[in-house]
Amino acid sequence: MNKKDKNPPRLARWILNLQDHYEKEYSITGDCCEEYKQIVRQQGKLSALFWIWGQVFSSIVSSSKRSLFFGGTMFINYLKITLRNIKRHKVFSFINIAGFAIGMAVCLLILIYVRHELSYDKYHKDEERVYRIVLDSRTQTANRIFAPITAMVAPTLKNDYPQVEQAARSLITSSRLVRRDNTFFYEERFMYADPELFDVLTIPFIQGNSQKALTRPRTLVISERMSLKYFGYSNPIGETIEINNETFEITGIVVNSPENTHLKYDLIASMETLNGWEEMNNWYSTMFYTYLKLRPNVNVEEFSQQVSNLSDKYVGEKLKEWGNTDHYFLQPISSIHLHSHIRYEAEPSGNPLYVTIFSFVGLFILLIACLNFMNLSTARSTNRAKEVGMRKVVGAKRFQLISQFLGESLFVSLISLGFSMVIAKFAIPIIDNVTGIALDFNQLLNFVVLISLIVGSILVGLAAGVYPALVLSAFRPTATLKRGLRSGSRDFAMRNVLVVVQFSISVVLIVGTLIMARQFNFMKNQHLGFEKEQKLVLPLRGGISIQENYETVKDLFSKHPSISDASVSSTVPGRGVSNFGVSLVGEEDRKNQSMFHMYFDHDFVPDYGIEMVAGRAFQKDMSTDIAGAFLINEATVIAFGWSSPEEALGKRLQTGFGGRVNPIIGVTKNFHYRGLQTNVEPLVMEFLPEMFRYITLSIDISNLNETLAFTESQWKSMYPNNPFENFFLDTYFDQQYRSDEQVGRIFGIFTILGLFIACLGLLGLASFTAESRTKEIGIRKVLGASVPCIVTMLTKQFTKWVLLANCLAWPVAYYIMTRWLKNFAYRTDIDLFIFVLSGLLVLGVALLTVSYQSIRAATINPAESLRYE
Amino acid sequence: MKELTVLEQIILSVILDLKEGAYGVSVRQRVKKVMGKNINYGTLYNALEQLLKKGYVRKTQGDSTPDRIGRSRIYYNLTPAGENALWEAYKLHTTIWKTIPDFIKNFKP
Repeated sequence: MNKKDKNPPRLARWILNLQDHYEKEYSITGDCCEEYKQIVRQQGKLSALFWIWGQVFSSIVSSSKRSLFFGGTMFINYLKITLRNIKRHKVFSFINIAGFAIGMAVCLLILIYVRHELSYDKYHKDEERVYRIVLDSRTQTANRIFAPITAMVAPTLKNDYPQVEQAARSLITSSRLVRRDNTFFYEERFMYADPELFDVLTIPFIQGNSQKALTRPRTLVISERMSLKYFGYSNPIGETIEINNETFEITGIVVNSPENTHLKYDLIASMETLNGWEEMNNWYSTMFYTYLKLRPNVNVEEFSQQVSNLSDKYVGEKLKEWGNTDHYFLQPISSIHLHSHIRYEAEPSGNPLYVTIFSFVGLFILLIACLNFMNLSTARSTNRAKEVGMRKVVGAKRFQLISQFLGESLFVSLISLGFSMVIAKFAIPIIDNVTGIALDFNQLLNFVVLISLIVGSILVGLAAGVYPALVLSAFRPTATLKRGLRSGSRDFAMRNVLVVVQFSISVVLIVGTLIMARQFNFMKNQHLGFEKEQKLVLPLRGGISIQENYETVKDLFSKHPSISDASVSSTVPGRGVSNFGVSLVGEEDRKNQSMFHMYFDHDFVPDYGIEMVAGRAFQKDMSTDIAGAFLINEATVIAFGWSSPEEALGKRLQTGFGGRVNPIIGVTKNFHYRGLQTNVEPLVMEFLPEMFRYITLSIDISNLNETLAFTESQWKSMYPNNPFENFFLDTYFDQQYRSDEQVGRIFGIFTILGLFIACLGLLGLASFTAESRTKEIGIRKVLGASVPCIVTMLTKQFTKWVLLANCLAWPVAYYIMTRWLKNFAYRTDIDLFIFVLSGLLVLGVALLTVSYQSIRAATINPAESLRYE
Repeated sequence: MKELTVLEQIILSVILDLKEGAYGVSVRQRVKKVMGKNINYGTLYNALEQLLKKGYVRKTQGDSTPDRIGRSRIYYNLTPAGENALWEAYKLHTTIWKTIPDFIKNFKP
């Protein structure tokens, strides 16, 4: 071991040495070094290192305690100076505190959002043992992963696998018409469930017994919300309620569904109700979400391998015959919201990319605010230089000065934290208004969160304060006291770097916002292959069937002059489409591709303006078209490998319920029956009246109110017991982009705030530069410089920085936005124009900010500015 | 007279016991042994500062050893006032323990 190795690390010695009082009075470095060497000899280097750093940290704690207790007077003096500085330099203080507070408020809002997204399904008891089991089904041509699986899995799990403590199924159906006496509404969150669901998931009962509530058929557990809605303040237990004309007995009330679960519920009916239904007893209908709870200490890896082939024992032979394989796998329940993204999720999944993006946006905005603080504090060092010199002359140590300045930045950041809470509180309703994202402020009012916020803002204060503190405390008293201080060129360079970083971040944010807006605009204006304007859609829910009388119903509406046409269909674009296996008769090797299906009548294709590329659409006078012919889209032609649409005509497909075999009579152009996030996939269309669930009316909106009133009265005469509902197809279709658009809007808000904070900083810096060059400007003017000339001189350097910031920001923004756009199958191109526009925007805003100060400085009468001291 | 904290009493007694050899490292190690738990330099110095202020301890600057990278040792001695204070503390303790009723002595939590 050489000699150098025996001494404690230099950094540790330096920090110990900084604590002047201990060093001078008690020789702390000496004591520590001596003992360090003893420990190295006796216990080895590692424990010595531990020991010395322990001493370093504890001595920092003790010396700050000491300065609080013993140096009480100095502490009060620091506080006084801090407050005085804040009061005297109102603009600077405002910029510092406002910047910090806004930055922190943005962070708080993002924290609420991120915490909410990450908290999904974490509240379940023993959530680490709760899983959802899903199906990976492979056919020869397709590979699909289903969230809902067959009804047989849950009982199989319980019988065949001792590791499973409990398993339960839940079947989510379309909305239900719920009626009690004369109150009736459609309810969306309706499900059938096994009683074991309450053992697997945490759904606390307010009334009733979780073990017994769902054991009998036609029993129902409702949420508190529903209880209040249908029963007011009377006790609903034992009462009955009608759901789609079936009577259910209410056996329990549970707490309202939390927002942070993927399986939201309002009405839970017993699975027993469905007993005897054929779908409950086969291995092929994938309809049931299946949750399971493992016993403690089960090896999950091992278990998931075992369950992978759980169905082989029962249907393995049959699947093999068809050339299919089924594999099951487990998803931890808390991962479903952000990481699942598979077919038929109970609700649309969250996007983990947004969680990441927002976390970074929050950090960056906070960074901008910190940089402001650093910039302004060092820029103002000239003003503080005399104070520093004076303090040093009367005996202040560097350590004391550093702690004074750090203390100041801590003070500012803690005050800002207070303000930021207020800002966040008031911003939440505004954000809700503009974007529709509801954030819950109460998430912050939690002991752990509050403490970490305070710790966080202390860290931010330290991070922002440490550089100014080091710069300010390094001044030499002789130099500062003699003739103020010219800002050294090194500090100046540092400030430029900070400004460049700030504006780079702003440019990235702006480019992001613009590209997002462009994408949403693109999606709304893209031609979809059908007409989405001026279409009023009436959903037929609550068990209404128009299988027999759809023609009469259509006539009922279309006799109004403003309603030009009516058509009926199983679904409308933007609503879900169902999925069945399709096989081509006579070509066994290509059998069983899975394809989307849609059912509509003969008026649908002309009404929606869907173009045909080959063959013909369904026709009214061809009675064989009803349940006897298929239309396909161009994507299907490609999926079957035909060279032209004409080749498809006359080919026979087998599909749908019961495997009907029918010929293809026509090929439509691809139209977007789903949103533009996804490609147009193969679609098979059929004229099947039993499937009709929607009436689409092509209306003339010039007479909208009257038309709506007419439609409603017709509806009331037909279906007096069902609420009248309607929506416009275009807004409905665009709702698919709602969550992305919300994110885009909130991103826009944060961008503006970020730019605002950066400009605040620039304003401060510009006013400082102008102030410190007052005399120079005066002399220049005396020598004949014009006002524009001086304004140019003052703004030139800022322009340079902002341009540099653009160069740095563009590649970063390009990279991030290309990744984001990959979320969409149909996307706008990233245009150079957007980059230039954002660059100019930032430059413009920066120049505006700077020019106010510059012009003011340039127009001062030189006689005054030269007298200025 | 001012009350002494337990730590101050321990430090005074340690310095007295170490006689001429009381400086940072030896005092810290001895105090650690007496208290049975670790004590950091910062804490030690803060307590010493109180004792210096009260005039119970005085410092003398000693020599440096090679181990101390050039820093000299600071030795501590009790002043007469310090010895007196320690004696007072001792008397106070013995009085307390003499007058304490027997049942508390037998009471073990």
